[in-house]
Amino acid sequence: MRGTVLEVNKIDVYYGDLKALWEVSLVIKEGEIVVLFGSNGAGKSTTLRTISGLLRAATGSITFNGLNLMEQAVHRIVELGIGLVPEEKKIFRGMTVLENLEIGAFLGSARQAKNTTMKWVYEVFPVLKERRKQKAGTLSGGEQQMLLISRALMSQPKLLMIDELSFGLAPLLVQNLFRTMRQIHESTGISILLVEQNVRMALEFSDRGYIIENGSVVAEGRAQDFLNSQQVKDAYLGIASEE
Amino acid sequence: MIGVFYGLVAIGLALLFGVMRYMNIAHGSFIVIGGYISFWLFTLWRVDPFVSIPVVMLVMFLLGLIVYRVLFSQLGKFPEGPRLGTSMLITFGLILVMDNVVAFLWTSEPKTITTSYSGQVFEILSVRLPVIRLAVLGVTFIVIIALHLFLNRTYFGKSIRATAEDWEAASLLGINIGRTYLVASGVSIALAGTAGATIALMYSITPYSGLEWLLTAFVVLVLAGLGNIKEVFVAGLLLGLVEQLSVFFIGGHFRAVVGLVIFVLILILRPQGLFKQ
Amino acid sequence: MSSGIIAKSNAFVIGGIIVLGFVLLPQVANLGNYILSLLFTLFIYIILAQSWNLLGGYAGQFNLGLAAYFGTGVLSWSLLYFAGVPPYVAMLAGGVAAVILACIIGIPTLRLKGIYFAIGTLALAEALRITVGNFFPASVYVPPTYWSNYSIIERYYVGLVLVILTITTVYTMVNSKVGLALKAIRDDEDAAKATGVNPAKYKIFVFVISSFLVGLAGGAFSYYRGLITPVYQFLPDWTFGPLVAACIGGLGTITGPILGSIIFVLLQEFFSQTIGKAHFIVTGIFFILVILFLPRGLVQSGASIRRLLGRKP
Repeated sequence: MRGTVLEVNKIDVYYGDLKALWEVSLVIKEGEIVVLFGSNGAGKSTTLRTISGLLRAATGSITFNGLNLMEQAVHRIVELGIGLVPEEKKIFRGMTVLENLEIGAFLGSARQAKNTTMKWVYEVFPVLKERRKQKAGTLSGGEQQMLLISRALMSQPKLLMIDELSFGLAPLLVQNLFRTMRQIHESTGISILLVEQNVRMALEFSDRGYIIENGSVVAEGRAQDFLNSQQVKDAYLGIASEE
Repeated sequence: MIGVFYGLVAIGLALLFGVMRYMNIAHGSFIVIGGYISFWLFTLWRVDPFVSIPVVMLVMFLLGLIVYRVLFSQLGKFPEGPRLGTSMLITFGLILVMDNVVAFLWTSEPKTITTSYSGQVFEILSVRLPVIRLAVLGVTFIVIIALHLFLNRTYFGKSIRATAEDWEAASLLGINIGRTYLVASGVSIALAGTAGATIALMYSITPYSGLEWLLTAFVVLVLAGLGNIKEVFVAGLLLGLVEQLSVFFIGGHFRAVVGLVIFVLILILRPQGLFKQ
Repeated sequence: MSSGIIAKSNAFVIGGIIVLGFVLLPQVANLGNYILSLLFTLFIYIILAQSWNLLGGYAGQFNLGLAAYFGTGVLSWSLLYFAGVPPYVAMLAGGVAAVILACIIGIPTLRLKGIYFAIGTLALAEALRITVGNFFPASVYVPPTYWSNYSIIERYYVGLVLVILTITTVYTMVNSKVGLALKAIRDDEDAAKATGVNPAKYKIFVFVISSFLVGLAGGAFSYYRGLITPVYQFLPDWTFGPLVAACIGGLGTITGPILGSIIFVLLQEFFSQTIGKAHFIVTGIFFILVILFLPRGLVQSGASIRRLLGRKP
């Protein structure tokens, strides 16, 4: 059995006075790929942001490899091995692709391995190597997404969280991205937590999934089971297949 | 040209605003304090003002750290909207305190540093260049190069640039935002102090002359585009040029007035500055 | 609802009593020049703080060029009076001159938003100060006959009338639809526009009224001071003092600038014996503390103060 890497236990999260999450719990085991899906505004991004430390949970607990994340600063949580590619796709536009990647390896241990990691990133995303001297703002949407993922990978996370991998990207590109993510996963064994609109592709890519609606977890199960479920097909895959 | 020096006056403020989005209107007062430290070292121990610059930088750097710890870090608990305005109010209070502490310590009389070579002039090809101005220009260039190296070749410098662009993304890469802000404050104030040390040589300083230098810095900042750092020295050059031209046509007494009026015109017509953000 | 009306009429009564008190004060007590001067200075600061607060506290537009209008009022009064114009007419003219100035340099700057408006007004005020300094000497001789007929009590009443005028004007404006419009502008100018409020119209209106009051105060101040130092009143101190007073007391309130001015003037007097403007050091620290911990000013912070002192609000 794989060990549990991340354990989120009954967190409540507020935006000011507005409650966004009700007793959300989830578990990610080592090397697993887990997807969070649900309607827009259900609280999926909020969950990721809380795990990463950008938001604080009011109650509950979040542990990562046994360590309590609840009071930690964002940069500490990154140090502990959690990376987030947030929903707002923000590369450092004024810096070159190379600089973006370099700054991704800011952390001590990552910095030492910087060259090796970068070489690997260039193998996975050759277009980044081509454009490494260019200002990041000149990249296309898909290339920026690749840069964001690579930048997060430069910090050598043990758990990578990605919010909306496919957002705004053409279907073919999305397919390629997912294929590449599978490659990455196979070669590194990194755990991945996804929030994803394109539910079908995400489920095909993942091991397990959680459905979040109105700030609560309403279902949990193996990705395969979700794909086979009529309810899920009607509710979520119908929308996805319109893309 | 004097313009590059204007860049030096403004760069500290540009850095602070660019990184933290706080408007430190006490920037002028910090400049003046730098000048007074240099003056003090000169009158007390005959330290050559250029030699004292590193000392001034160090002292002002520490002062910047303290100001961050005591004041700026408190701004974090305000919501993002009013934060800029609050930073202006707080630094305004800082002006009241600092200017008058300086006045208390050194009196309101204008002070200036006159060294043995203050009046000297280089003559090259029948062009007369005052030694002091040349030396200040040299100092400015050293600062430009050092800053460039720091921001572009060191990891910490790059983390400052990253934080300035997007602090959230930067924190998600493991960058300690609090520490980045702390160091940025220190550097900003150190740069202000350096400008002040040169001002004490070229002009005179009074405890209340901070406001005038703040306005100069702000004009340069707006010309360069609020938030930009690299374009500051070019903007300074432009300002210097415009001022020189106005002196030519209108005469020295109104130099500042012309600068200020043009500044307001730019604010109204093209507030985003001359360069893109 | 009725308790609100009762509270309001209570406020009126209290206000009326206070005003009556001030009116009768010099008649019943022999206060002496020092106290009367101090009170006059206080009145001036209250007028400046209230006027600044109108645009700054209620509308959220920080005019850092207030001194320009004060100085204009002073200068106009001096020029006119010593050319033979009666003092009260000259004071009115001071107000009008300030309004003219507002139209020239104030209204164009009103297009600027937030921080740009603040620095823009400051820049123009400084430009004006330097220009005045270039054209006028540091001080101008005043004939001794001026002092032989000088009545401090008269100045006191002038100040009192102006203060009452200012407070009444501000009160009326704030409690009318103008006040609502200003608060809407302060909260979100674009949203205000969307609901049919024309921000420019209100900002201009308030700016004009504000500068008129400040110009009047300038005329009164000059009448009081006699000695003509043209540049002195253009110094940014005359912007920042009222600003600090208004902020400490409470932005966006009517009693705030009054309380703040009292504190400010008292501190100024208390430290007047020490070198330079040392009172500003204490005021500055106090100011910073208020901004950080009681950002809505002393007047509105009953709950916060109690919390700071450890008791339940």
